[in-house]
This record gives sequence, C-alpha cells and structure tokens, in this order.
Amino acid sequence: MPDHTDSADAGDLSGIESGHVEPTGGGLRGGASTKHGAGRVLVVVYAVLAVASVSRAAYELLTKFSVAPVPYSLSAFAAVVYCVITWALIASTPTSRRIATVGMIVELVGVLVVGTLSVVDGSVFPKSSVWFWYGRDYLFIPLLLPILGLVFLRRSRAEN
Amino acid sequence: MTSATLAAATPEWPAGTAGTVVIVVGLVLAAVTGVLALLAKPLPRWVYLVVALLEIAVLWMTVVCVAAWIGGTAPSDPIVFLAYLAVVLAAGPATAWWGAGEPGRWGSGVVAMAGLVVPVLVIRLQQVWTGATAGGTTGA
Repeated sequence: MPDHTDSADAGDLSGIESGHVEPTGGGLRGGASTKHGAGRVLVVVYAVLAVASVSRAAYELLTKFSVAPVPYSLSAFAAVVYCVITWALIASTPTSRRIATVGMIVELVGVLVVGTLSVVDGSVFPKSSVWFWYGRDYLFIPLLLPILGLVFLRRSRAEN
Repeated sequence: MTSATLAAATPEWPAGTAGTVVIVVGLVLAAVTGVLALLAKPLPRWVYLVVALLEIAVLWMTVVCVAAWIGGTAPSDPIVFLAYLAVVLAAGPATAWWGAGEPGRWGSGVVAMAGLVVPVLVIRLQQVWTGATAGGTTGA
C-alpha cells in the first residue's frame, strides 16, 4: 500500500514521529509532506508528464537523434527533471523537498528559456521539445506545473 | 480516388467508438470527483464503480487497438503509443489507490486528475496512431 517508501510517512504525523524534524517537518494536516494534500495531485500530474516526456525522448533519441541532437538531448533532460521531481514528491523527506524545489526551478527556467527562444526564432528549437512554445503540445502544463508546484511547496512549508 | 492513398499514408484509428466511450466516462468521472473536491468531500465508495466502468472501457479500447495492430495497421509511433496506453490503462486503478490513501478533498482531486488525463491521452493515442503527432516530423 502507499507507505512502502519509508517510515516517515506513516500518516499525517510525518516528521513528528520520525527523526528528521526540520523546519519543514510535521504539519498538522500533513502540510509539510509533499505526498499528501495538494501534493498528492501534483504527484499524479508529474508522473503523467514524466511518462509522456520519457516516451517522447526515447522515441526521438532512438529514431532520429542525428537530425537534431540539441533539442532531442533537451527532451531527454526535461524527462529526467520530471522523473526526479515525481520521485522527490513521493519520497517526501526534507531533503527530497529541497530536490523537488530545485527541480521545479530548473523546469520553470527551462520552459521559459526554451519557450521564449522557440517563439522568437523557430529555427533554434524546432517543434520537438516538451518545452517548445512553453509546452503548447502539452496544454501549457509544463509552464503551469512548476508555478503551482513551487506555490504548493512554499505554502505547505508555511503551514507549520 | 485519393482516399486509398490517404488511407495508406495515415493509418485509420481503429478505436473510434471505444475511444469516445472512454472519453465520455473519463469526463463524467472528472466532473463528479471534481465537484467532490471542490466541496471538500473525500472519495465516496461508489466512485470506485465509475473507475471500474472507465477501466472496462479502456480495456475495450485496448483490445480493439491490439486487434487492429495484429491485423496489420500498426501505430505510426509505437513507443509513444505504448507508453500512453500504459498510462491510460494504469490511470484509473492507480489514482483510485493513490486517492484512497488521502482522506480529504485531495483524495477526490487525485481521481479527478485521472478523469482529465485519460481523455487527453486518448486523443493523443489517436494522433500517435494516425501519425498526426505533435512531433510533426513523424510522417517523414
């Protein structure tokens, strides 16, 4: 069942009963945990995006990597970022919370830089990356998700 | 006629009916659980029946696709197709389990996500099958 990851997540009391009571530990309503509350929905969306980006990157790298190495490598990089964030949210430790924060900032910078470049000059990043046109192919979720994620991380930390 | 050459260039999506049923049931699930989440209600038991209904429709769609694949019309992008199909197959049961572990409104919110993700991915499955993918260059 859900709690195979570690003993710290036996419920909403995470952080209180476990050793690592950090500034982030132990919200009353599970606020500090990144796999409870709204974080539970974030995990789902990130997991879907992770699978989508991994499969896209795998397809691109396996079949046509030589055509455009840079954007396809970028797709792979984005896929790794999504996988790391998904794992970090589920792991739900103070360390993984920091990893998730860094991952979301990387994701946000990536989607903004690649998105802007692709809008300004389509030849730099042809239609191939998850972050093309701010993630238009993915209903702009790649742009919205890191913002929502960072808001969630900030709020859930402030709940203590 | 050009229809013959068109059919050869773009494989026909075999699961039109089943796919539509999946989309409709998915949207119903999303609406119901979305309202529950907005009302801060946890997941009621009967939602699992809707999830089961969605899964039956997804299995039906999967069988139709696999049958067509065996019959000779392969998706134009097999890797992405299989990955999306795996997500669609797993979405209902996985979010029902994941949502059951969450007592409050977000348990309902998790299942609502599945109800939204599945219809989107069914549309993507269709695009990936026929070659009209977002990748753009698949037809080349």
